[in-house]
Amino acid sequence: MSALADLASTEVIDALLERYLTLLDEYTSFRSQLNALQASMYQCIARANFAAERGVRYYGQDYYDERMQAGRHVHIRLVCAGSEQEAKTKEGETEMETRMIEAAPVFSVRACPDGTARSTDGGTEEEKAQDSTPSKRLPEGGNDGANAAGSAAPSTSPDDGNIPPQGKGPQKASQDRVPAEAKPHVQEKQQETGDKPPDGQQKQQQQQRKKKMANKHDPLRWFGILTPLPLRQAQSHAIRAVEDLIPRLASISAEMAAVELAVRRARKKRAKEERRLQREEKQQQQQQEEEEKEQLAVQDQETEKGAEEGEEEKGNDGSETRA
Amino acid sequence: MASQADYRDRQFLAVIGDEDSVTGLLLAGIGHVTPPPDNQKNFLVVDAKTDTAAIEAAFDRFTSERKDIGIVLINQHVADRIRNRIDTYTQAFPAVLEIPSKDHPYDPEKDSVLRRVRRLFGE
Repeated sequence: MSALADLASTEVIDALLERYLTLLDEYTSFRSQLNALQASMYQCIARANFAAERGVRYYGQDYYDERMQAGRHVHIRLVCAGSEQEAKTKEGETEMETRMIEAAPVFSVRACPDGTARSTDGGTEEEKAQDSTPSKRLPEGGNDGANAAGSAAPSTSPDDGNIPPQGKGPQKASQDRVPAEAKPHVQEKQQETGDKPPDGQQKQQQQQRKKKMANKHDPLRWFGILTPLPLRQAQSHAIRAVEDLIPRLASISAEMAAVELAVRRARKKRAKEERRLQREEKQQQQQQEEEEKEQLAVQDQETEKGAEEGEEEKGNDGSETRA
Repeated sequence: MASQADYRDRQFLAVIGDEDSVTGLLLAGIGHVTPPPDNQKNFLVVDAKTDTAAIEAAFDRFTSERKDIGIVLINQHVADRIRNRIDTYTQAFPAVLEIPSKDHPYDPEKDSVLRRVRRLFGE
């Protein structure tokens, strides 16, 4: 009986461990992919730094934008680890086993165009407001200096920028100003001709603005307008790592933790059951022994009685013979 | 545990690492600085001069104080400096992931996930 129960719980644990090892295999393969990707990313950054004139342009923390906004966000879902398995197998045992695994989080990282758009509208306004104040935080190249000068144009005061973009004023101002970020001379022309460009041009400008917004949030822009190819390659490697490998590794690690927990529980349960069975067996044995003892005692008593009777009989016989 | 209700708000990645690691990952667009009053960054650049206490403080900030971080990436050689912290970290959120750095390639012996594996099989 105990052997049967043992077998069932051992099977459950084995199934869990099998799942665990599959996850481990995935984990190690993604790990090596991530290592390769990171290595090439570091190589690219090193090449970019090597090509740059040391001291003038160095691709590091000195040029980080202090008001950066995340363009890629983490999304977390809770998924029951065994839901696919359950679909595949209908056996009761696997169901039991999968039920034991707690829901594990699944991570994913996505670029969020909506989020950035939202934050761009708010964010860039702020950024520009701060840009138009003398930009001391980002000692960038000559181009950026021109930008700062351009956006400090007389049409907008820095205070305008802090008003949320619902108002008509700042939005128009941003339309005027955004192209200025990239092409200072265009803006100068506009200022000469007047604030409002024709409708067709406006549409074009809006599109341009969107593009520029995206560009504005591209971290590559921290390092100037003409960034070297290796740095762009480094960025694409990093994006692959962040969007693909890192969330997968995080999810697998979380699921492994869930399976670990399930294995520990199953082991504990098995140990408990074994102990219980052992105890029961012991009790049974004890009972049996006691019964045997009782039986023995009864038998002994009977034999003693028999012997006494026999002796008595013998004694009687003897007395009879003597008599 | 996994049932922490606030996991939906965890939308940022955080990085603790050397300059190149942070630069690379920020290039991917994960860097975030909260609006002016506190100006909290979601990254920490660590070099040889950085105190272990500062690393620990950043790790605590990303893992316990801030509720908007979903994944914490940390260079393995930096994680080594606060190894005890990393190994005893058991929260489901944020997930902590060790990544290789330029000068210190990934060592599976030290990876906390693989340590967990060994603990499971070798106890």
